[in-house]
Amino acid sequence: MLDMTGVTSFYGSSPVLQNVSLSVPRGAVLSVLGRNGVGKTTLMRTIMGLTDRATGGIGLDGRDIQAEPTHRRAELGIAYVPQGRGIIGRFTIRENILMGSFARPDGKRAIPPLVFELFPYLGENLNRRGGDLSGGQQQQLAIARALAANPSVLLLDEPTEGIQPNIVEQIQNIIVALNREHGLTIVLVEQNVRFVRRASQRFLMLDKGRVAAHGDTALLSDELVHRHMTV
Amino acid sequence: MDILLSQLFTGLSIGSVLLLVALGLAIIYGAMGVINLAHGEFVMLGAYATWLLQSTLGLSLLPCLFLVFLMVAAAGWAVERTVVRFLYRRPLDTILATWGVGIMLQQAVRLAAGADLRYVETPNPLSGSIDLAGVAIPSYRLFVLAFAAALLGVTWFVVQRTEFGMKLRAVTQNREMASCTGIDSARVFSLTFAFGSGLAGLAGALVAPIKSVAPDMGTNFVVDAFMVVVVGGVGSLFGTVASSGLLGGGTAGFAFLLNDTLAKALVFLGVIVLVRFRPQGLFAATGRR
Repeated sequence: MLDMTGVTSFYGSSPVLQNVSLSVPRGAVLSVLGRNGVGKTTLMRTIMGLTDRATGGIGLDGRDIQAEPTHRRAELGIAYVPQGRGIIGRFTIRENILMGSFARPDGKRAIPPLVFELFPYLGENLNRRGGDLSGGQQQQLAIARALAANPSVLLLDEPTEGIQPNIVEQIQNIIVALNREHGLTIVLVEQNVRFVRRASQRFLMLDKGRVAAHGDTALLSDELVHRHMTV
Repeated sequence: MDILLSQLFTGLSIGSVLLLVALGLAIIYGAMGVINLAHGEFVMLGAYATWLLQSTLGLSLLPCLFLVFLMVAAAGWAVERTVVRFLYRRPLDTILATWGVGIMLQQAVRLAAGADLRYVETPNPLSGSIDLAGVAIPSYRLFVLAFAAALLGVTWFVVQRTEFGMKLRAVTQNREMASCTGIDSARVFSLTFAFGSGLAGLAGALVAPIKSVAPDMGTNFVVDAFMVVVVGGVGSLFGTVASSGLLGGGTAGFAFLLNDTLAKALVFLGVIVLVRFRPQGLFAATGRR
């Protein structure tokens, strides 16, 4: 579904990500792990085409998208929920969600029923401003916006970071449901190893901008976690 | 009473011209952050386009307006594609670059059309005046006032109620996230610049019958327009309207009490004092971004 081969990605002239290869099969969840600053977010931004420059190949459904600009990648079916959520503060909840639908190639502009089903709060408060929401509500909104694009691949960057504990589990359950019940292919940046083991079939461990380990989640041993994630 | 009414109308009339000229600038500056010093030259191009259409095709002013909008919008689009789009990450350089573009446009028009003043005729049905409570009000001034209000309405509608406007607002607030939702921000900016330029062109067409048309006429307009936008607050359409009215009224009032030159100087002084204490303008867009 989504493949990277030998990708090196730059900010200015410094390569933040070096020679990264990965492959996410259709319908799978790939978790990206590693300490802070090893390039997890850069990996996501590279997939979206938001870094200054990248070399190597990025393929979606067998099609090379390396030369495509960010908005084309969105139209081709990649939706991004960034760290910090990227909510438009002066847009209402409705506008924030509809914004996601601009990536739909069929030109349909509507809030999918799934959004109301998963996030009843958003459905009941469509006219509230995005900037007035709590962190957890903004995270729900960012996921809702991504779903409005009807994507085939969902990129989630630390979706439970900085969110009150009672909502963390709810968001985790939604991510699992999106994958298992709705067939979404997901790339998940996550620090919580328990959730990684529960949600994903595959993992990718980054260290200093390179792939330190990857494979089936069953192979994600405590020893690996200890070596690459403890500070 | 008569004097008050006629002064009020003079103020509104000056304000409506200010609004016309400032509207395009407010959109480009507010939404794109580009300080477009060539804005006055787009006004000038609009005036010359009207003169050209009138003197070659014999068109009256009103049928010209739509054509002028398209012509100047196309010129703006070309400037954005060839110069401005390379400078979004260097806002200060846009000042220099657009200033250069402005000088080139001025000289090009001087070479092509000559340095003489040109005149555009007031359309016949609007050349008289209307009697309003004992005060004679020139019909054309009234028309400009109504047209400025209509353009304001159209601009508000485009920005707040259309899909294009929503894309523009999204790009303005978070360009990266906007492109992640499939918005082609480069295209949105090109069209916005073209729209703002087209508005400037319309302003030029409308002021052509009441001011003389010359290659360097844009210089004064760009100063006025910036004053309106800075006083009103960047990114606030309402602020642009209010400050057009305020500056127009102020100019008219001082001009009545003193004279035109002193009025201009006093309004400038007022603006400087205001900006010293309220640099964000009267109605700056507020709230978390």
